Amino acid sequence: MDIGKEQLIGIFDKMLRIRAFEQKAKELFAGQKIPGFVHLYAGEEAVAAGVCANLTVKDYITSTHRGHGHLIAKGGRLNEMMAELFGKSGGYCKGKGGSMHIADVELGILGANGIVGAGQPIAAGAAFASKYLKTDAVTVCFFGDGASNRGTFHESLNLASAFKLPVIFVCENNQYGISNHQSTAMNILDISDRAKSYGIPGLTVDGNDPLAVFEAAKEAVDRARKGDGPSLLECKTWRHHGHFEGDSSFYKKPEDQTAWLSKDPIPRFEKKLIELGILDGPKVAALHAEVDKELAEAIDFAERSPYPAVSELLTDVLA
Amino acid sequence: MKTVTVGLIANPASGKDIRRLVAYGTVFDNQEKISMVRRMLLGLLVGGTDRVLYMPDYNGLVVRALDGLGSKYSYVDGILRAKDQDGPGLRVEMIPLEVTATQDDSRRAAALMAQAKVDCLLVLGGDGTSRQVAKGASNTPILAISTGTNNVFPWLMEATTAGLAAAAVAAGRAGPIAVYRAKRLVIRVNGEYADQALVDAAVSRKAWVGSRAVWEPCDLTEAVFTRGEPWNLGLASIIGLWDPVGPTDPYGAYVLFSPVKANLMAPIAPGLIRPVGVELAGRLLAGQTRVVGPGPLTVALDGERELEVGASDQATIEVDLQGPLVVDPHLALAGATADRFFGQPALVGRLDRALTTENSLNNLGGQGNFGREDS
Repeated sequence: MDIGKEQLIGIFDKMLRIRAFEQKAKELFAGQKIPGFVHLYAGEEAVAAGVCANLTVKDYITSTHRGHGHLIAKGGRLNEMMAELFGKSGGYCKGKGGSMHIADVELGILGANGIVGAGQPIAAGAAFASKYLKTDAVTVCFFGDGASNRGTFHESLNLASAFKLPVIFVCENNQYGISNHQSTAMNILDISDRAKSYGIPGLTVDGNDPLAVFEAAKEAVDRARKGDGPSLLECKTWRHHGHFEGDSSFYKKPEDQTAWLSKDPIPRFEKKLIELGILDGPKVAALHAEVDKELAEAIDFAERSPYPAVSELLTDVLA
Repeated sequence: MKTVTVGLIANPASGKDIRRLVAYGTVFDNQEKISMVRRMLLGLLVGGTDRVLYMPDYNGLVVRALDGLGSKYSYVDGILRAKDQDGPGLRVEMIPLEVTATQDDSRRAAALMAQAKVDCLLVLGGDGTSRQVAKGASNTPILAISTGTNNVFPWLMEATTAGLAAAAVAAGRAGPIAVYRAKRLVIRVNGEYADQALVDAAVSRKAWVGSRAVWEPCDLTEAVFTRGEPWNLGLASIIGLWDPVGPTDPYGAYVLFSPVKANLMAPIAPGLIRPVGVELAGRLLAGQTRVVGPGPLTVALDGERELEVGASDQATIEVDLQGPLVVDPHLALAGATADRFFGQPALVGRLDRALTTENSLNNLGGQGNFGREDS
């Protein structure tokens, strides 16, 4: 496998960044510094980091309501992200979009999205553009198990397969659509099974193992880039927190939560990198210190940034 | 009278790994597995099995199989019967197993079923599933049917006749040669037992398990085989096309791979025929071992990276003749046929009356004409 030491550390670093960002977002939301809603990605870091390690800045992603992890993995800047969460004018959307609408087209981040399943047609469209314009960019579409039940999923996979579009549909199957366990709303529990209906490759990997995700995503990205069409990659994972902050997760069995916490991707990957001699205790501590420093700067940036002026009320409003 | 019991282990996770991308494997979806389980259950029902113990799983394969039998059959109070029949039917019971959605479920289920003294284990999955079942039950005959990708151990056959074959084995009517003791590979790390394989153990330069599958021969340094025949797909094809070893030969084999030359084309995954360099190959007698390591490396067992061997570790791979008991379903059905197993009047009460004309039912069950005349 073509993966070097620096790339492995890079994946680990992204995972640390995402976890730390989410932990801070949790604290700041509880401290009433962040308005609106936040949906935390903690626990699912291996998916975003493992997939995005195969992408370049010219590739695209579409994200979800639980999008902080995807944005950080694709290179989103912490300052602007945090300011957006705070609703401040220094944020990615000048403070008017909030957690669920962060986009950075320059980085290929076509946006988080508050509507479940809304990213899928956007991803198919971006992939169509790449094919039409004959660039070699690929698009990754992140979505959840619940979104795979939306019409947009089926419409997007249908057209993507019919047109052989360079898109990778990455399902983060955390088993719950808000409070509904998959089994209460689906007759098919492995989302990868649905690939068969569209004549494209579908596979399931351990979404808490960044190396398994990386390997699978690499093959899917290579396939898309070479013009061989879309793939459906299902990553089985688990969100550590509620659907949104304030949700107590009363619907989850405590024993399931305990079992999945024991498969937390971050300590698991850290242990592996130490075993391989790629990291050691001091190097891990240094990575944590750097992440903490950047996050402190991001929070400071967000706090110092002003709220949008009243005169901005109708700016960028399209409807 | 003895209660004839079959254990049923169907793996919802098989047939979905990275070989859908790196080779030309297709998704083996769970709806097809559910349909196969349904056909297996009907084979067992008509084959006279009294009781099925099944493994619960996250997809509910057996529950959904029972649910979809339609109006021709009833499943009431845990008993499956053809509609309008009031005979003993087939009791279908779930074993008490906490589902972890990991491969260990199959091993633990097999161990519980062996403890419950099932007469035969009917397994739906790939080489990986079979490996886990064999780890859990070494003295219960295993009839494994393929859903996986590079399958050597499980049989590719119709689920209905697999159900009938398992019923014959469980009833003790499959004849003397249908069940044999397989070989296995025992892997030890630093002298301690670590795992076992049924078909092959391959040493990969990859330092982590990752997406598990092995699809690049250039990653491999060596492999040990219990068997490999020219018609096999997967790593076993390498020895199969170089110097075949049958499943009942009292020895295994090893191959050392060359990093520079290629002297064999081998189908190592569906549609993936790759050049392989065989530097050295030979037989391994029972008890002989290959020493591998130190790492970092992984040992792939039956085609999937399973064991990570660290920089200070050493592993050994030993050929052992004490593998699981294995059913050859073709021989089982042939043995049962010779024993007139499928001509028993007692089985008529298990047939679906709605599918059978009154006349033929009367002829079959009532008049003593059922089956062939021996005269």
